[in-house]
Amino acid sequence: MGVPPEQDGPRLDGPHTDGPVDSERFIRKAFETDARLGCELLFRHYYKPLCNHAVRFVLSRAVAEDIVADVFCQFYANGTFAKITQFYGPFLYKTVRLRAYNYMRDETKRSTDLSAADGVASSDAQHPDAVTHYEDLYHDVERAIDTLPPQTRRVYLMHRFDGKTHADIATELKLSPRTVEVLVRRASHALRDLLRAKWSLVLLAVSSWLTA
Amino acid sequence: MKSSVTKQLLMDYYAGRVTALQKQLIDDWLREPANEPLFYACLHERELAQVQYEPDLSAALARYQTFLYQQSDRVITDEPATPTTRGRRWHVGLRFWSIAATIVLLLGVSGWLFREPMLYHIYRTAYGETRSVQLTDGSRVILNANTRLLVPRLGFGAGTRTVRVVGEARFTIVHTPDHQPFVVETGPNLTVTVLGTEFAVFARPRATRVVLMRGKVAVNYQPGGRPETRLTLQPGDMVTLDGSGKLHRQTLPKPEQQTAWTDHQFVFNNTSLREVGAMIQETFGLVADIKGERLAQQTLSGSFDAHTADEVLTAVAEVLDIRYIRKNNRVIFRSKTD
Repeated sequence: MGVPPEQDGPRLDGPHTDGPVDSERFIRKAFETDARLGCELLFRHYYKPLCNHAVRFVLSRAVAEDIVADVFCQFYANGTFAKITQFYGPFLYKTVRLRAYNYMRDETKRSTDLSAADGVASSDAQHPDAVTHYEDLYHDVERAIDTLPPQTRRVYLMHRFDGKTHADIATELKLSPRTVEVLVRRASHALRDLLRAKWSLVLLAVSSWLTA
Repeated sequence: MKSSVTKQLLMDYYAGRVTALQKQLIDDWLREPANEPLFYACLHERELAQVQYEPDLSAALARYQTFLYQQSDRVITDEPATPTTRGRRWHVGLRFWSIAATIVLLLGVSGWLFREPMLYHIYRTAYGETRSVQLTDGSRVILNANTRLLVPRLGFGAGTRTVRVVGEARFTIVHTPDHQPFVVETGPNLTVTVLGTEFAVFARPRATRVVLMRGKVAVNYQPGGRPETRLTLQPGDMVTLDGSGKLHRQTLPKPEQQTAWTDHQFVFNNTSLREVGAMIQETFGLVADIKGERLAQQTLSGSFDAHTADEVLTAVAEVLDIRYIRKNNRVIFRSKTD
């Protein structure tokens, strides 16, 4: 059992000890008696923040929630919990981040020509070697969304984030379905162009995924 | 180098406010695995502080619990092979029971705060919500949307275990060493006595149904003043009490379809749009208005995942090739040619 990081030195300026690390002690005790109880407690503790994190990458709540739920199911079914000797949080976050990243890669494979996609998928995009690539990706997505005109952004997020159909959005915003369709397509293209200029590494993944 | 990565720097980094050099610094710092817990603990803290949307935890948790209890038991194998001492086992047991007691206490307190009769713990679900409840005897109940489960505060587990359900629920009953029966009341006239393990109850104004998954249950029906009818079900049997007060028994080829809702699945089997409308009303609280008798009699078959009313409505409309308009808590179905 390693030394918890909060005892590691004076560089922490926040009241970190009552944060997630501390509450994991309680969860770890639960795992000693009942793995299901442990999993349930972990789920209660991490489900919401993990969904919130995943959605930064995939921009769709349904996809984010699927990824997180699936990670938890495998966590129990594969007995992963038994292999973790220190903290559960880092494992869960790492797995969810990788899955969110790969989700975009798979979208690429499905919808762009294979020769181009292969080059991306087999090199850096599959397992980003640097942790900072993850943050780079969702920051760029965020910034790109930010540059859209308000109405376009609103329609696009209703479509992408809430998973609403064009017809639903049209009814809700009192627009014609055709307008909604045009705005969604325009947003997808604008985002692709913005990201293309900035983000060459996972260019294919992002562009094809945003137009999907 | 190590000391220059602070929590503040990490927070700035998550927010996208660091320089390329600082980014490089963080990357190098993270190559040391001992630094990982801090990195993710701060990330976690940030996601808790900067909420982007509110996922439905209770529905997701109910699905996860269903998944967990469908899986076989998992034992932690990596534990040291030293024999557990009696003392430690006792402590672990005590801790477990104190957790269980706390959960029961919390549920009890919340039940009391929501008042209703002082005699019952009331577990309820809103429209569109499902919930898993563990009773004090270890039995598990999954409640579908718009459902109430009443568990007596006093006497539950002492001699008999009797609960009452209004709505729809799936029960997984734990057998007690002293063979206590488990009884589910669905109204004044119909009760289910559990002799075995897993079954589902549907008790709404539209109809009353009991489906047995595993084990054995008896259904007692006593309409006002008339003699009691008792039916014993085999796994796969479904008993329906129709509006005219008659009991029907049938054997279902796929009884698990009746509890597909525990996985947020909607299963239609030659189901008329009228029945779909009733189901949408029960589950989501939407009043369905179907324009035309021919439309109401159209049927659909198939199963799909849906978490919201809109997902169900969109799928139904697509399959039947019709239109729907949703206004507040009303849905109007009409054919495309109208």
